[in-house]
Amino acid sequence: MRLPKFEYLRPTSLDEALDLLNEYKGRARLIAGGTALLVPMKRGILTPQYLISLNNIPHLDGLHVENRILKLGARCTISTIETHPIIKERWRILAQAAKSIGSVQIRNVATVGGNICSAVPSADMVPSLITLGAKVVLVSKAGKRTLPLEDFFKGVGEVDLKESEVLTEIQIPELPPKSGGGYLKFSRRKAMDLPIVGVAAIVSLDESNSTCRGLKVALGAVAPTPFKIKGIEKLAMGRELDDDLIDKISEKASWQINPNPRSFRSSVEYRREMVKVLTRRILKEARSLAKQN
Amino acid sequence: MKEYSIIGKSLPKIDAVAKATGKAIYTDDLKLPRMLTGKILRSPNPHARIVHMDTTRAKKLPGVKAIITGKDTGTRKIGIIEAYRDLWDQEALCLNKVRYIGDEVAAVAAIDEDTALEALELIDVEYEKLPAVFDPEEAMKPGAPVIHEGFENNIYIRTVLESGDVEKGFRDSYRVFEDRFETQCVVHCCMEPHTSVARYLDGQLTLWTSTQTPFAIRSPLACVLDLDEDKVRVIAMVVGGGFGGKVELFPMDVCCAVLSIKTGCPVKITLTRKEEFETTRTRHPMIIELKTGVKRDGTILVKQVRNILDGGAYGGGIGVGGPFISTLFSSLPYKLPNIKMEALRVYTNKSVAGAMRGYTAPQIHFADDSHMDMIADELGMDPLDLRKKNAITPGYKTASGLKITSCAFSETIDKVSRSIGWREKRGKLKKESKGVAVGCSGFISGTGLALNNTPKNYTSMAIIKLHTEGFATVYTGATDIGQGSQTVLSMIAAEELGISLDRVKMVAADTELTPFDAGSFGSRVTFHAGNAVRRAAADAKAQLFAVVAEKLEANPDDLESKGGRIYSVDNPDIGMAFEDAIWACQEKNGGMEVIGRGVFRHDIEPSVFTTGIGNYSPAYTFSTGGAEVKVDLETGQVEVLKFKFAHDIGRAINPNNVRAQLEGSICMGLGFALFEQILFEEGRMLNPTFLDYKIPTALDMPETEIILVESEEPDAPFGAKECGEGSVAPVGPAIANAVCDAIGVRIKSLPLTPEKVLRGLKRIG
Amino acid sequence: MAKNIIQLKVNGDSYQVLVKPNMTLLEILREELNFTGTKKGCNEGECGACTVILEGKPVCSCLVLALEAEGKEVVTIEGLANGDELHPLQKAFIDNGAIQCGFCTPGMILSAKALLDNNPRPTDIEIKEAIAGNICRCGGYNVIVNAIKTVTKQ
Repeated sequence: MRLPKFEYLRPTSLDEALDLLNEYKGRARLIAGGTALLVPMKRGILTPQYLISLNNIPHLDGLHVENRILKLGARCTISTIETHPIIKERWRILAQAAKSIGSVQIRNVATVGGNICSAVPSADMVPSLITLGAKVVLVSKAGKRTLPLEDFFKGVGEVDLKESEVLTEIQIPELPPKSGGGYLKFSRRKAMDLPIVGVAAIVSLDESNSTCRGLKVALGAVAPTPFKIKGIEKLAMGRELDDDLIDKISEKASWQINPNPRSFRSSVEYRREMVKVLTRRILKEARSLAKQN
Repeated sequence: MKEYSIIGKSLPKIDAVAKATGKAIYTDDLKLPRMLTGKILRSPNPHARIVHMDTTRAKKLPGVKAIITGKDTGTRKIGIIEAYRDLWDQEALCLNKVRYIGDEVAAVAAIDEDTALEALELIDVEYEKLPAVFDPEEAMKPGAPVIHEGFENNIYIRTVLESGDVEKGFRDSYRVFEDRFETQCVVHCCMEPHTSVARYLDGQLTLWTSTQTPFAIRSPLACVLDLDEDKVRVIAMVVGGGFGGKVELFPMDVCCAVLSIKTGCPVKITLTRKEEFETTRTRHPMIIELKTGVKRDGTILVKQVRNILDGGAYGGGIGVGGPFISTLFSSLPYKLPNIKMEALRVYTNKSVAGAMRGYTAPQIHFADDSHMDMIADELGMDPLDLRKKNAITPGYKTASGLKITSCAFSETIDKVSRSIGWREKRGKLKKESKGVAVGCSGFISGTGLALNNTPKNYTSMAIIKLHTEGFATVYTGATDIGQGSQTVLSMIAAEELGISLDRVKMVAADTELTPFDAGSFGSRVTFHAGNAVRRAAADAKAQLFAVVAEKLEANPDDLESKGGRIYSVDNPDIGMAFEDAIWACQEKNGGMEVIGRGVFRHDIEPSVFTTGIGNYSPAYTFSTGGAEVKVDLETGQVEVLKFKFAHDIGRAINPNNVRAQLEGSICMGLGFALFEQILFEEGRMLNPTFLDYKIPTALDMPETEIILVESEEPDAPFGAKECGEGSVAPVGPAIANAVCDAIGVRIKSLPLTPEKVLRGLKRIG
Repeated sequence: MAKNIIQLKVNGDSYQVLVKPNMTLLEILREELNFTGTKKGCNEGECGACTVILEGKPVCSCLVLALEAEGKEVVTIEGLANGDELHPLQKAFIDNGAIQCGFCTPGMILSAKALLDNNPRPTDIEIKEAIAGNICRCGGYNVIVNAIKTVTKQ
């Protein structure tokens, strides 16, 4: 229950960090907030010999809107995302997801990049980001590549981040008009908890307020990685998003889950039922928010 | 009720400033010159023989100062209740066999934590795994693995008591109700982990430790170290929560001491949070089988009980009392003319169970009071009427021999039912999937048992020394674990002496400096230590009065001490200042300082230890909790909207302190009812972290109302009975009953998880 | 492991400390600088007993590497009182019976302070959210919230 021994490196530029990553390939891990990394290290699950800190590299914690795309620096803290006026106004679902994480103390230190790269099944920022169509920017000495977030996860604790790469930015497009969304984190307690199920949903309607123009649902904590529900936008596109359709979509979503059957946190059966219930609830909420917009 | 100057006032606690400024010294804050860090090596197997252990590699690591194994801690077993010494079954470090995952096998002292941890990795242990058993009912079956030799069917201890004519009772009953209830494993989660610092110097061992029972742990510690008791001094530091988890001598305490003896340096061992979960104590998971016979009008005629306590791998010193105390609580809070009770504590290869706030009362009353609602439902009776019809009243003697003195039980039922809106809401909120219900309990106020064998079973002694400046120092062995005993005892002394609280100082919980006190458990401190302190104060005061009376030419019986002055009641102008009286007293007695002494003892009837029938405690408390809940029919989540609580407290010495304790009980009861559960898989604890073991947070607490019902217990100091323990028990049944009122689903096991609710509603399989 | 000498600013004073990379801010505070008012409850950021205020924000010091705290302002419970003059929150906790075993108290008070420094008139929910990361096993949440409220009315 004590941090193992390691060397702590503090590069002051992205280039320097990339050089260090190459030099200590296989023996190093990147660290920003540390809230997700230090705990498994204390438990002896992860034992990197080197930690490369991203905290002294400028511009990694920026937050700005450019060409109607929200650009979040990977080092933006969860509490910044929770409270930033731009996000609360135009990407409200992200503020909701951020607020649901841990406690004030954790949110002040944890970063969005860290939440993504921890790749835990329940990473609370991820379902919302997926429904928003977020992309991640990955930088290495060889160059830059951009990837849809939903394709970034490979398995529990595993992301498509090469040993030589740093996640620098998350890019989130603006929502179309007449959109509404929300994130529901279902947990035992009202705070300081992992979700048993996390559901994010975004609904976009046409000007007449009835026909569905876009519908995205993503789930967390019910599979090895957070994921987007398939085949539902097709179902809903061009149709009226009434309660019947919402029921159908929720049912469909509940059958795409793949939780750990040996998880002591919840049974598969219960999670399936909760996905149904919560997807239904969040879609209804998203629908009414979309109508108001 | 009589008004006092200090008793009954919500004065700030005397240790509050130190705690609020970060200056209070808890054991881990203690630093001594050349202090070493200790760490413990633990078994990864739930049941195994130790074939071979090699510490050579570890000893060679630079910075390691000593390594000890079972060979160094001797063959004497450790435990806590002296009268049951022959049932002490735990070694400080296992010599031949390990019995649960976490069992201690070796310990290291090193110059820092990094080195100590590295040394643990270098100790080689070879185990031969043995078949293990994890369920108490499985453990009792023939052919089950034998965990301790000599304990047939893995039964550690069994209590049986019978009174009246049970067969006739069942024959005469209009209806007989049989039910089985189960409660889960939960743990204390004291915010401060167990910590000890030991220093062996000049043949004396001093142990600074986070404990509830400094005197009780001194004897077994001296015994296992093969030292005379006068060579061992135990000092309780500021304790960050106990809840019953710190009433025993733990292997880590012995390891600390032995490492100090070997190294000649002080040694500190602080448990990690994981060790805290896995290797200290848990509450006893229980199976409770009830069979109750009632008359047509609801009068209970007979009750038969079988309690199975899952004890884990060892008796745990305090575990030996579990079965008996469970039968005691089964006798409360209703009148039961005929009883037959059996309680067993069973060994399993899991973490050890011990005492936890309420010590079987929360489990028993969850079962009993759920059962009461079920009976009322079947009889078509109002559950409140059923309870009041059978409620214990003042002066009642139970079939198990308990002598109830003061009792305001019915009043607590009335007050809570009014407050929760019983008439308007019970059975009427189903459309909103809401429900209201009550849960009741009875508890002991001041367990009469001193853990040590003492002359005449005295449990508490206090000394008060008066100073010529006019202040008093109280010396008491009682330990403040956050419940505020230091403040309460100081207030009692101040009131009795007639001086202000800020003129009372306290020296507490040091086996060298203070007289004996049995310890902070069994809700005994206010009653027992409070009485001892009051008597000591009265004794000192009597010495002053004798001298003052002579000086004023008055009768000592006509004197009173109040507001720092001793005066004649008939003529208040005639008197003298408190400090002048002290001076005068010393002058008269050749300089002899004014020292008052007081002792408290309670006669537990000897039959308690043979037939289980007899009076156990000087007084008893009763309480009722009322819950209003809302159930989410789709998720199964239960939300407690309101919780009302009435406690028959005798008298509140410090109302703010009482309220804080009762709020705390509600919170712990809420966790027990809804959120908390330790899960095991093949003996391994799956969730030994605060992330996965869900203690309620500030956002989970409902709106509460606390009602203090005062009824002055005659034998209690200023009439005050317990408040911090019995109050956990009503929460579970109140919530379970309210859920039933809301949605018609009866859940007979805790915690009331959303899954259980949905299964009850048949929404999942 | 290479050791570094770093400068830490705690409660307005500057300290030079020798740290190993695997030391957390909590360990430095308690073991090197003797600010034992900050408590170690779980060492994993799940209980809040180790809460300190770092650059104006409450954080779990057990999850902050000491090296990361270099040059930043740290406020611990010892830094609240002004000599004998207690901080209003400390007085409120004392006067309203909001302290039982006291182990969660330093972290709890600091979380409350950080809240009130940013939001002097929070709602009940906002208070509870601010202290949701501070576990009190003695269970005194409602009493604690009421104590904090007495300060917000001023």
